[in-house]
Amino acid sequence: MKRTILLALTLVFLLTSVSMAGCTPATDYTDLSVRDFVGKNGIVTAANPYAAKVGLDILQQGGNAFDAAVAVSFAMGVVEPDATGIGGGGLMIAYNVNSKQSMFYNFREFAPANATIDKYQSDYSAQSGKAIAVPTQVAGLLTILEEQGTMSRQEIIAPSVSLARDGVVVTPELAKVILDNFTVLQKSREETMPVFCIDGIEPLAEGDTLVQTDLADVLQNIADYGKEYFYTGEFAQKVVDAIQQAGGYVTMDDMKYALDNYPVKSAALTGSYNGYDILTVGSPSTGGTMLIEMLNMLESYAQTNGKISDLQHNSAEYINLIATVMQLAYGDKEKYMADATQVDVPLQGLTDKQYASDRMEKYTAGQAYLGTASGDTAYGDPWKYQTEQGSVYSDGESGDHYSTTSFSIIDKEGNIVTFTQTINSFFGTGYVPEGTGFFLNNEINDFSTQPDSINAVAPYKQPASYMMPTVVLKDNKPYATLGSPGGSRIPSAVLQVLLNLIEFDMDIQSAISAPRVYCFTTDDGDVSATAKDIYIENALKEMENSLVAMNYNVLLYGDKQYDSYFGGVQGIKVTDNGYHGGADPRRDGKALGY
Amino acid sequence: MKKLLTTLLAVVMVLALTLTVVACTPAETPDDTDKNNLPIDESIAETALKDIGKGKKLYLTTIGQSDIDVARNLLTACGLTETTTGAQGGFETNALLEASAVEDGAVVFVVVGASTKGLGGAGTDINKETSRANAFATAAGEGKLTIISLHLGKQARRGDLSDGIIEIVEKASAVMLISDDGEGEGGNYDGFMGNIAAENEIPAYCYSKATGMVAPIKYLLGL
Repeated sequence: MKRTILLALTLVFLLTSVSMAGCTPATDYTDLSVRDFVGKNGIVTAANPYAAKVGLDILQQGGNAFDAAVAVSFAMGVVEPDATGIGGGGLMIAYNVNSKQSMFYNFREFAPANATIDKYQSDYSAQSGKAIAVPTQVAGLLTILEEQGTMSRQEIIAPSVSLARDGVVVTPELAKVILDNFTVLQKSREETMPVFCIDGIEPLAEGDTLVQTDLADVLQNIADYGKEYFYTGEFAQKVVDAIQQAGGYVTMDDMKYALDNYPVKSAALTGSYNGYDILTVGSPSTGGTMLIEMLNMLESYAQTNGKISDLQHNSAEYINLIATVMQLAYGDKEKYMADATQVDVPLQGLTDKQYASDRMEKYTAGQAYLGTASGDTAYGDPWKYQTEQGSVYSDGESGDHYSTTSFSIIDKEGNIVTFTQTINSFFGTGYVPEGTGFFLNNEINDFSTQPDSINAVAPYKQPASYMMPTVVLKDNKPYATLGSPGGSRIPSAVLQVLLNLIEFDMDIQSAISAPRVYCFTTDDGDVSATAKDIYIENALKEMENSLVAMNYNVLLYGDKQYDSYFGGVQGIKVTDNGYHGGADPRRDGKALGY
Repeated sequence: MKKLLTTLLAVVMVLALTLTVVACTPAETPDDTDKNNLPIDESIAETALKDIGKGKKLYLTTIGQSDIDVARNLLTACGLTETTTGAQGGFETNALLEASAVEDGAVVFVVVGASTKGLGGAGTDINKETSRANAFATAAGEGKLTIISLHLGKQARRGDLSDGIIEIVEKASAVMLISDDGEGEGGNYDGFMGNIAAENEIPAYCYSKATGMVAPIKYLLGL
């Protein structure tokens, strides 16, 4: 008997040992050495692994893509407080596979009623209190949850409360952002130093723990009492008081207006490219319109010159082609795009295929397009290509935010939800209302302060934005979803990743990881007056001489091979093997699934 | 026979356990911690550095436009007050301070390391910052001022953009204080600053947390 027991014990030991000898650890969702994931039932891809895990948990608990997206959105405000949060706003595109309907929820911030242009003619700086727009994030998220979700507010927000209260390990990109923006954090020292600082001296570093108790309390109250808690009553008054004390114009009436009027719901802006359908965001975004215009130009190029994939990927000629397309679209953006509910935007013309084809006459193979430096205007005339006519304004001249975050989700039904959201600059204005733990945006800086600009600041107007969460269909079925932060680099980043998928047949991770370029329209900001400025990642340095020979002024940007300046794309591609989520190594991106 | 079998089984169990432990111990890999050639969290008391800044006018600047807020917090934690004049008991902060504007005999805390964002925000560039660095080094060499260099941004403030200005300033310093915990992520992770210190016979100390620099700075300033 004793021998039998001993034998059994030995077998148990041996089996345990053999299984442990392989040392297969439990999957570490924070492991950033692997970014992508292939799943049959659902994918969440976000700029932070903790937030991606929140979304995955919600999906596995039976939530749909909207439930997961709202949960991830709140979580991103905790783990990327520099980029997004309840003091900001955002845009969402979704596609329902059963109804085959797209939907666009616009919850971007708007200018307060008292934000008249005259108040911005002097004594205004980009991160001052005057730059605070009315926060619309909470109204947007909770309305989406009510209308499209299946789970309760408490269930959706609870993970974010835990992340804020228990703390998260500071990821590499967050550590860099805190370090680089430590000056901004000095603005509300009493609020920020105990949270983002060690011993009141130095910023939290990678591996430290970020604990946000005040934010946890606020999120718990939003979970318990709903959006009214944020927009009416004592809490809203505290926020408004903080804004006005900082010199801003937001009032309690503005907060109530946000509660009653946001989010704004509409159908997606649509376009097509070589058999693919593009579902993206319209006004006040400019990025979606730009993407459609750029794809139309490339389609036109292909009809005349042959397939784009015939060009070698990231060869000098390929870069010249997409750089020209970019600068033509950016020129139109600056001239014609802003909040279409308040100004006339020639949307029909800008997305017209003949207009794009005519715009492409500016392109010359082997030669940079010099735009205004060659005597051209930086923009075309899209009004000629549409039936309804409207006013023409001065150039848009909007601000250029570097922060922002993007994430995408697909659930087991195949429904897709993709968000891009922001507080504009890193840590917004830097102002934190006392005891709340969240940063107030500086979205007014995305307006122009020129009175005759199409994008001039005005009461209740939304600032133009490059944000452009996008869904792509093929044969009426989901093909991919993409989005990115990065200010003016957003449209160029999304364009390049999408071309990598469609034209160069890359998998989603390769498409995201591939080096990128950025070429803005010619304007006063160009470094060179005689050659076209082009920004390229160091990974493309070998193309420098070839591009210079085409009359480009090559600007290598960043300290490393890749840089978050060129965006941080998160995306999902539907494949025969399942949903393939990819995440950008330029941020702390991580795709998780099951 | 039974005893032999029992013994054999016991041996197998021990082997199995050993296998478990051995297989799950990660292989040792070389790391950067071996390259740190400076003392970490070591007291500078009882050195010749005592009171080198005592009673002198104090300035705070940055070459490379990085981490000046950390340095400001650090000096404040030492009991100093930020003033516009750098008067006794205080320090004057100017991110773009020129060596020519420094009062003779003063002590200048120079935060070294470049930030692309900081350079852009301050409206300067690395070439101009290199010129400022050279001017401070020259002034220090002529005995007009004393530099206490601070490298606070760890690996984020190293690399091609940073290393040139770091070398110029640190070579001219009276003492170098560096944020580095010896775990391979600090400013001296590759021994770069340790080599500057050794080749130029400059006292240099690493601290795993910036708060660890409070006592040394007080010692240097006689506070």
